[in-house]
Amino acid sequence: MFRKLDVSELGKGTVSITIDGLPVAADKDEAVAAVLLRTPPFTARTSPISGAKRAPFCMMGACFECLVEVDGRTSMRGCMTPVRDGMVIHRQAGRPDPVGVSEA
Amino acid sequence: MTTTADAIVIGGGLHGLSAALQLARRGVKVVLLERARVGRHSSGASAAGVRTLSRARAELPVSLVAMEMWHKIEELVGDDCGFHAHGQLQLAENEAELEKLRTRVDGLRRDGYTNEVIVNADEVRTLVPALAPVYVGAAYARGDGAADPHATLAAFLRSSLAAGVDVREGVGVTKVERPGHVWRVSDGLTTFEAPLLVNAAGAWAGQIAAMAGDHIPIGTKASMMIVTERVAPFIRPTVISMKRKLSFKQSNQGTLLIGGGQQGRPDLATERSDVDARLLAKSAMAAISLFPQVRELRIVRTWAGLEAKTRDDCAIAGLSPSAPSLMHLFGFSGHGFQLVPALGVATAELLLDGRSSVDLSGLQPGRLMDGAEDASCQSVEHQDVGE
Amino acid sequence: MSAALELRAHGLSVTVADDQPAPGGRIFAGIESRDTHGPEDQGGAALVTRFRREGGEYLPATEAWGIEAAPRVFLTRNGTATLLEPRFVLLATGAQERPMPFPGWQLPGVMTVGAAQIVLKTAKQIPDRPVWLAGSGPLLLLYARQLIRAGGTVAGILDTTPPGRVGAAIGLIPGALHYGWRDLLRGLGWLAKMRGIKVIRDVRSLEARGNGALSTVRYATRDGASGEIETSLLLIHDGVVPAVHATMAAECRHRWNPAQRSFEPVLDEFRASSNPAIYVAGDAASIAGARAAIFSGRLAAIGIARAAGKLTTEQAYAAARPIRAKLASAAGFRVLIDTLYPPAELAIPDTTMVCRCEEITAGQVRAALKNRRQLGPDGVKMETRAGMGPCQGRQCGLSLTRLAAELHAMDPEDVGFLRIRSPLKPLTLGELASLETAS
Repeated sequence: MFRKLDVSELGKGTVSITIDGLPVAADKDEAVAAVLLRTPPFTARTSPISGAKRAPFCMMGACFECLVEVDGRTSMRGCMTPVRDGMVIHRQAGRPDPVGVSEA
Repeated sequence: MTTTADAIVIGGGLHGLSAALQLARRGVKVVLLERARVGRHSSGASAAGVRTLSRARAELPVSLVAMEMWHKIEELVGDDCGFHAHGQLQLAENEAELEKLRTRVDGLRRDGYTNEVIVNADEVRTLVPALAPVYVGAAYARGDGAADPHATLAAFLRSSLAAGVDVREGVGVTKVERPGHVWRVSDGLTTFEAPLLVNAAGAWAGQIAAMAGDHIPIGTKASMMIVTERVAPFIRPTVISMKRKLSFKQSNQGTLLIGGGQQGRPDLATERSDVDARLLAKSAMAAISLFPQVRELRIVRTWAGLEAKTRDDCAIAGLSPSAPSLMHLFGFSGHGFQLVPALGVATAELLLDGRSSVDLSGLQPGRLMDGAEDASCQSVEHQDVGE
Repeated sequence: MSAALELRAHGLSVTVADDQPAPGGRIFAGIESRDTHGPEDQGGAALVTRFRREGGEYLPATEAWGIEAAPRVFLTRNGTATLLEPRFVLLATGAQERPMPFPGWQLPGVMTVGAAQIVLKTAKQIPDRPVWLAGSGPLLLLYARQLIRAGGTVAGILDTTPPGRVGAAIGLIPGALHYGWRDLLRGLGWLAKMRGIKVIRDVRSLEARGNGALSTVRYATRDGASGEIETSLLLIHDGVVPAVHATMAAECRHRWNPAQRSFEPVLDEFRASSNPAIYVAGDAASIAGARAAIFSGRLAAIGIARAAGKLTTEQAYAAARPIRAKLASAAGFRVLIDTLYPPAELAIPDTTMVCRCEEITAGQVRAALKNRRQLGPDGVKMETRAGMGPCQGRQCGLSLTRLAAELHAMDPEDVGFLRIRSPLKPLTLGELASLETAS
């Protein structure tokens, strides 16, 4: 969906994160949602109402579409969360489960 | 411009709608007057607990009748109102607390009430596996549960309209008089006349009562609630802790509703209630103490209600001691939701037959009025938990 | 930033809570870690540098989730909540894009132009495929230009700007010229560069279609033409509106701005709201753009300094005079922009998911409103659940007001907006509870 302007941009302070178990390279401090936009299938979650797929929409914290699970914490807005090395991200499936949180 | 009817109901909350519905089903031509919109205040801010558990004795007879009606609510209003009887539990965290609950349940049993039993720690664990192991036992009302407040409002409104009730929103009553044998009620623009009058005006019912000549002192409550995002199915019964001022349940939509009686700041004049975040933090703390797994769940909204409270925390449901054909139906002190179906029937009975089939002796307005002996509603260990 | 600097200059202590990780807001997002081209960016970078040095206590990555009247401000930072009780609060919460609902707008592959611009500025990413833009307003043109300059491809533009705007705007150009001549020139330059990009004008309706993600966009124009476009990325924009959740939660009075079709806080000449301890500056007050925001922040700071007794009324008026002159110029330019690009407000068919969070359609909203003149947005919320989701009405609030106003032939001013209360952002139970342990 989106691509880095300059692939070598990723050279400056690259960090490694995982999205649904798959390793992805990211710029230190870029927003999780920006990484999602360049990682197929470019979605963030499925709706807790209908299960429909949703993706980042406003990138400014006002729409709550980009909710993902970050390091075990659910319903984090991906656009307001800067990546950190080793961050474990899971696309959020429907309703968060207070009892069972995804394994890393 | 004067509109005549057989009965006027002041107040478009659930109790007003229920009364209007039952009167209309008895063939009475009813006009219901609501200042803003139906369910604007308490009824639209309710946690919708359907509870006989820990009811004050004065409310218990009508509460039990209401519970039977809740179990057949679809017959009454054509909708299940989101009601599920997953039970309600009142926790005891030590032996002393459990002993108090035991005393209450024994007392109930002696008087023929079987809606509550005492359960031990193992049984609590089976009923609510997610609870932190802080309890030694609980009082359990198996037939209790919770409903959907908005579905309930919609159902009662729909049924009232179908029964022929003339619902007038945007009519705020400012004048109540009794010229001759009718009640005359007005908002300054339109006048309504009817022989029968129901005062179900919620937090403003004291003002309406005064207009009709009854001085019934009431206070205002602003119980606060937290609603979380929708979460996966987590808990079925409603859990109450008096000590921690907590009421905890999961709605049909999956949201967690956390209440318990922490108070916000009410303002009757502006019809507003403000949340006090520092006090609400206590509710959040209580929820996390009993359910540590919910710490990372997100609060989507909070609110403070605006409802009437009586000195003894019991409802007012009875005919005016001074004026004829006037039913007072207010002062539910934060736990009126469950009583709705039954009090509508009782209202129709009192106004049309002169007596109700359910015992409302402890809920008479006279007990709170000047000259009354200090007759409280004889609540047994009753502390208000809010819903 | 400019308000903080001005307040400090008058000897007041300042704490700035910013939900972003670094200063710069939207316009200068991430400016400390990117190259600055052009005078505006350089000005922004300089402002950020000054702010870091002299702007008071700066709390980044800090969400203000509650404002109570006293004023009490509730913040969350690193999972812990704190309470501040300042004498004055200045809200500079900026703008958000006007919600632009149409059937299918919730599909992955539909995003706002503002979102794409943020992704470009902060993550240095552009679409990896030709993109269609839909909507109206300068931001659309600005992003198109930035995208092309960065090597991206704009396949086409579905222009929803109502017709006849240029004629209406001509008379306003002289007034706008002094303030915004650079912008006007730039705009004309961009329009020239748009050769080769398909522009479909007078678009009246849109529909996004796809199975789980966007694949086609159907449109219809004012004169009855229609078509279908294949695209997997559609960027939409219909202007910006003040982000009023904070001022509404603080119970400030608001009014409806008919030209900008949005609610704004009612402010006095020094930007004080109906609560004399709460001031509002920048686009959160009224949409006027970045340059105006700098002046508006200073004006509010002067107002606070006066209320705090650091300036006499005479001094305050004197200090404000040159600032007001600038703001008046900005206002003239704003009127031109508003006239050229009024809110498009596409028709909202019943199938439109106006509340994205709870998945409530316009049809459901209209059914609830039918014959219930008293219902209003809060009544609709109660009946349909629209507005009950995590975005707390940010994406659906204006739609609810519009649907109620249209159905009941009422003025949006009388319909009002959803009742907004704390928390302004969904904080966790743990964060709220931490307030209890803190105290």
